Amino acid sequence: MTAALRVFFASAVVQLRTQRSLVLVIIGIVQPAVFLAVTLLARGPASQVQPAALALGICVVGLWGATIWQTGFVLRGEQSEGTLAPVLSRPASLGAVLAGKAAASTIRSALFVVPTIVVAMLVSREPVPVKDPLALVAAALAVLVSAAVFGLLVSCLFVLTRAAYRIAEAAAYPVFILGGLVVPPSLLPDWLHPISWIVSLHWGAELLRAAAAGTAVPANAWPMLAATTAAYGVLAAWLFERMVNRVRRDGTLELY
Amino acid sequence: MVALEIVDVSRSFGRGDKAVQALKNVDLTLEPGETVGLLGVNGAGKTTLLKVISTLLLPTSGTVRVAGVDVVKQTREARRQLSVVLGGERGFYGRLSARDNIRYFGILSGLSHRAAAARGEQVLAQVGLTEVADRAVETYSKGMKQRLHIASGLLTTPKLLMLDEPTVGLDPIEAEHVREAVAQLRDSGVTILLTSHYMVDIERLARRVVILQAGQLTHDLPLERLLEQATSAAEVNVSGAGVPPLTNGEVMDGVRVVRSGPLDGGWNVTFEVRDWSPASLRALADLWPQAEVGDVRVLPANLERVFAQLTR
Ligand SMILES: Nc1ncnc2c1ncn2[C@@H]1O[C@H](COP(=O)(O)OP(=O)(O)O)[C@@H](O)[C@H]1O
Ligand SMILES: [Mg+2]
Repeated sequence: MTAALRVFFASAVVQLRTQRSLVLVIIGIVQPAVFLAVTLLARGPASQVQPAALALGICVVGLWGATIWQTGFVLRGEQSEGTLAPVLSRPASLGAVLAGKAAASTIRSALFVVPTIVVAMLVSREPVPVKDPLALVAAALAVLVSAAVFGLLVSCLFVLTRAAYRIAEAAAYPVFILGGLVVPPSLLPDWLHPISWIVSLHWGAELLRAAAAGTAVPANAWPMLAATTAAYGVLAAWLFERMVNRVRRDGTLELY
Repeated sequence: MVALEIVDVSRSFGRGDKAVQALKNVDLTLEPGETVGLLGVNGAGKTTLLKVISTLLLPTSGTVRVAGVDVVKQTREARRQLSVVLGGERGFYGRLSARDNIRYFGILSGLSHRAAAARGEQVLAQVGLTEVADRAVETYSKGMKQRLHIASGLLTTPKLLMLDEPTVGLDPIEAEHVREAVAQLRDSGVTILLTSHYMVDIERLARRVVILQAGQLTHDLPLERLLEQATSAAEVNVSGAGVPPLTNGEVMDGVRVVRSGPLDGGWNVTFEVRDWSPASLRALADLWPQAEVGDVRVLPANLERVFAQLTR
């Protein structure tokens, strides 16, 4: 195993074993289950709501929230343990450390959200037809990767600002709607569309819906998912570099 | 190739009126295999110097090379050459066991899984933590965390090992474990730079001593020179009737009043005698024929005292 991979996996394991679960129980289990129940119950007899599309939408929304609240706080967690200095003084690639932690945190979030939705759908006896399972798995993996990268970006933002909690709140809820995760974007005013385009999970949600319904994948979905994810990655790397340089210059590593 | 080369390094914190110059034009060279004690009072800049060398702080100016590698220009490579132990109560994953923390830091230091596990057991044993290695670090005492810090610094055999007050907060037995472990590394040829407040650490581990005062390196001397200053101080308790001889300051050359007060209608004074010898006892008896000399306690070499003499 190469050194970077070893660091990636070891960091992922440390993340899985140190992360606290309470927030995730709320964001990953309670919230999606309630969301789903309310929407299904409030549905009129002539509703156009497709249970499968709804379930997928709520999965992605749950993952989005969990990413912000869990992966977003990966660096903050290091800060509160005081482990950033000991990690920083070692030769391991910090990129590999953080990528491992983000990946673990994201997968862990998905392990809370996805079974919740599956159980909820089974309990409510809603059929969830999956027309193209292979495409669904591919889309799901892409969504996880994209969420992890987005989590890294948020994580870097959060250590650079004292307003992390407020940003997290601001990023979580409006984006559910703006990103077209809850309401189809076609129902939103035109001028809001570009905002949903820069939300990578919006494209992920489109891929998932198409796979479940067996409809044609929108031509720009894969390229846009890749492009937005790559942009998040570049931005995260840049922010992280800035943060490390700043703490080394200002001598504020103790605060991190 | 020298193990550590510091050329004209300065480091300041803050700007304008509130600026603090923690290091001023520091020059220092360590040859491979040297063990150097870095001494200085609180706030002298010792920790800052170790952080600059270990890439955690950028110098404001000057250059630092570890085994020939520039710590600013080749940061990653420099981190491969060094190991730093800053100690303290934080810096571990509290929910993980000591063993898991050590293995993880081993991997971050570039060891394979197998090597990290094997070397991890060795260093845990070296600092006497094997028995409790499966306990979560958040349940550890201050001293146990300090030992774990030392263990994590010993995971690899670096070109340069830096230890910041390694025995602070440890009980005498724990401290001895730590000195033992550091001595083994020194004997295996690792270059070591350590700071300490305790003479016994410096005496036991260092061969050369440098003194930092208000950010400037003012002294650079072999351990023997430092020890000459440190020998044979004693505290002598004397009591007598009537009026006490003097209440403070130097009574005679090398004899200083530490404490004084009334006792049973007479007086009781504790003197510190800098160069204690049997002749000192006679000199004291001659000085106060009526007095009674109580305990004589030869003091352990005290860094503050030696230090005060050197920097007077
Ligand atoms: N991160 C920091 N920010 C501001 N001032 C600092 C910082 N670190 C150290 N200093 C200041 O630099 C000086 C040297 O501190 P330090 O290196 O910790 O001394 P020592 O380790 O010898 O006790 C002190 O005046 C201290 O207040
Ligand atoms: Mg210090």
